[in-house]
Amino acid sequence: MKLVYKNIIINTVVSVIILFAGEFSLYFFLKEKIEKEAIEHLYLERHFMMKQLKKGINIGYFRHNIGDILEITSVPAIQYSTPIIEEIEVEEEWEEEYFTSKKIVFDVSQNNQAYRVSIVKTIDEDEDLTGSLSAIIFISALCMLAVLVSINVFVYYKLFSPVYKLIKDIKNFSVQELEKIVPPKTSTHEFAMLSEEISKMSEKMIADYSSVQEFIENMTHEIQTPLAVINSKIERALQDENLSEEQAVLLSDATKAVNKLFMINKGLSLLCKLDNKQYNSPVEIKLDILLQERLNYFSDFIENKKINISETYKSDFSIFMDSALSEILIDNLLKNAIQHNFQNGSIYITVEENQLIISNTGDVPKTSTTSYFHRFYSQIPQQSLGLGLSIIKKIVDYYGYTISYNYENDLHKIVIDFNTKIKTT
Amino acid sequence: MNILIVEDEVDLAEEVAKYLSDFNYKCTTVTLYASALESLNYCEYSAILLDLKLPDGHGIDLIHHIKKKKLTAGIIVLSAIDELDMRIKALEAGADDFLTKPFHLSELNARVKALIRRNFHHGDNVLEYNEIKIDVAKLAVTINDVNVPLTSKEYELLLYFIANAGKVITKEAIGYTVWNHHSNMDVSSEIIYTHVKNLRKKLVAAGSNDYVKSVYGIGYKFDS
Repeated sequence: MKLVYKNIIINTVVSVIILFAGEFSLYFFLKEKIEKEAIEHLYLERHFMMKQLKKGINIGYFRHNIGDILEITSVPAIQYSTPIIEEIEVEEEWEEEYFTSKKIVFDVSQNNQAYRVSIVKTIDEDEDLTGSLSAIIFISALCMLAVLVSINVFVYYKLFSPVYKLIKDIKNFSVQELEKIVPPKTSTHEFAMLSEEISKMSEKMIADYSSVQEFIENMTHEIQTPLAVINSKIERALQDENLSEEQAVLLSDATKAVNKLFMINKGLSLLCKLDNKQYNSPVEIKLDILLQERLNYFSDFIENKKINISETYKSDFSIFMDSALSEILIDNLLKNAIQHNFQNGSIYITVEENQLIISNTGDVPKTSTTSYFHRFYSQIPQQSLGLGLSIIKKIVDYYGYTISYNYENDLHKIVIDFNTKIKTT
Repeated sequence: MNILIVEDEVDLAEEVAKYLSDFNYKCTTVTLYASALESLNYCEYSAILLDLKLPDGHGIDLIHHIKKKKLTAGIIVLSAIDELDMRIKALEAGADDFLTKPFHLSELNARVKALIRRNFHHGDNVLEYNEIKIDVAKLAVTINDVNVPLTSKEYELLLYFIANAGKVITKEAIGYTVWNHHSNMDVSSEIIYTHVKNLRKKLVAAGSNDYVKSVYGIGYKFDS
């Protein structure tokens, strides 16, 4: 859930609860207050009346001046010397309505005659006021809440737009593009800090990546000449007539190691170049023709192991790749299938619409086939460097194709799906 | 035959010079671009072995200079940069061949010989080694004027052996040179053994001496 909605929901729920509670307390408080006021007023009226009576003003004189309704009736004896308060409904004659009212009843005597006085004070109009007041407050509060929510949404999107931009930039960030994340402009201190730090981090990542790439590039390049020196020295040393057999074998082993070093170097340099996206000119390549050409190239190796090759071409589709890379891809696939095959084994090559499937016989995998794509992973380290499949994977990734490696029905099966978007840039 | 070796790695230049000297080439080694220019001024060379990255200049510029002066020397570039772009650049500038470091001396030697043969033996495309004659233009081998049909690998092997006659050639060098700079694939001793065996059989059957000697654990030597 978006932060803004979470915020709105929490705010609204809390506001509504407080609003209702406030409204209720306000209503009852006002009602209570009005009633209390009315009763006080009635006592005051009584007090005033008693004072006037004491002064000797005739009781009949009060008939219309006190309270909303005043009733004075003669009673035989004083019964309510202390006043009682009652709540009554008074019928309004012309409006046919009942009003809640407070009534005070007490007895007084004048000239030895007892009278019962009841004074009524209507409080209904005041209570109407309470209701209206509460309603006005309630509506204003609701309006305010609505305005607050809108402002919240607006401000949120305005405020958070740099954060959204930042998230988008982070999503699109790729260290290989060598473009750092530019911090979006924002006046919010925290966001500015966050963007700044993320930008710095991206810069650091790019710098680290570049230095690693540079290191590999330099290393693979600079190592070539010393390797050439070693190779030449050994080659010349081998010409010595007085060399013992043992020494010759030692030197020969050294050549092998140098050769291996050179192969590693070549593979790493290729992977490095793929990482740097240094291949940019795809050309149309007929997969079936390329396969046949490369198979021919490997014929000595195939014959040597007496491997049976079975080719099925169901489609003659073309792929668009750098021509050197397409050759490296197919070479590595075939090499993998030949090198890890049995004597008298088989290789099945199938070209379907947008798919290349190469299966071969070979040892049962000792580990999960996914680890085969890792650099320097090799089931038999003496036989291969373990770079072939990672080169294949890198090339496949480079062009946005997909690859899978499975072991089923006693066959190692690699499927490359070219049906994905072809990168042209 | 004079050969100029322009290579800033003195050790490598000396090794190349020593190996080639055994085949009656007079080698001069220089480590700087400037000294290369100087050497070209007062001596005529049949071949120039050129490193691209020199401390005081770039090999490509030297190729341009050689071509501008219309010198007859063939040029073989020795580069640590194994990139198609660089290769094309060098060949376009006028280099005759391009060899990536690290290379085998025997391979370099074979290429130098091929280059000199192409440049200086116009019309004469026949290479002779005692009774073996190779017509390089027709890719045909004859022994005592009798044609010996060879497969392309056997032909390449023979050419390579003859170019390095008298030298021990390692199996690594053979695999690397004859099997076309093959990528990470190990050219197994068996494959080389099979092809060498077939070549020997064919040559001997056609009446040639058996010049190919196995050198235990290392490789072969073509020697009379």
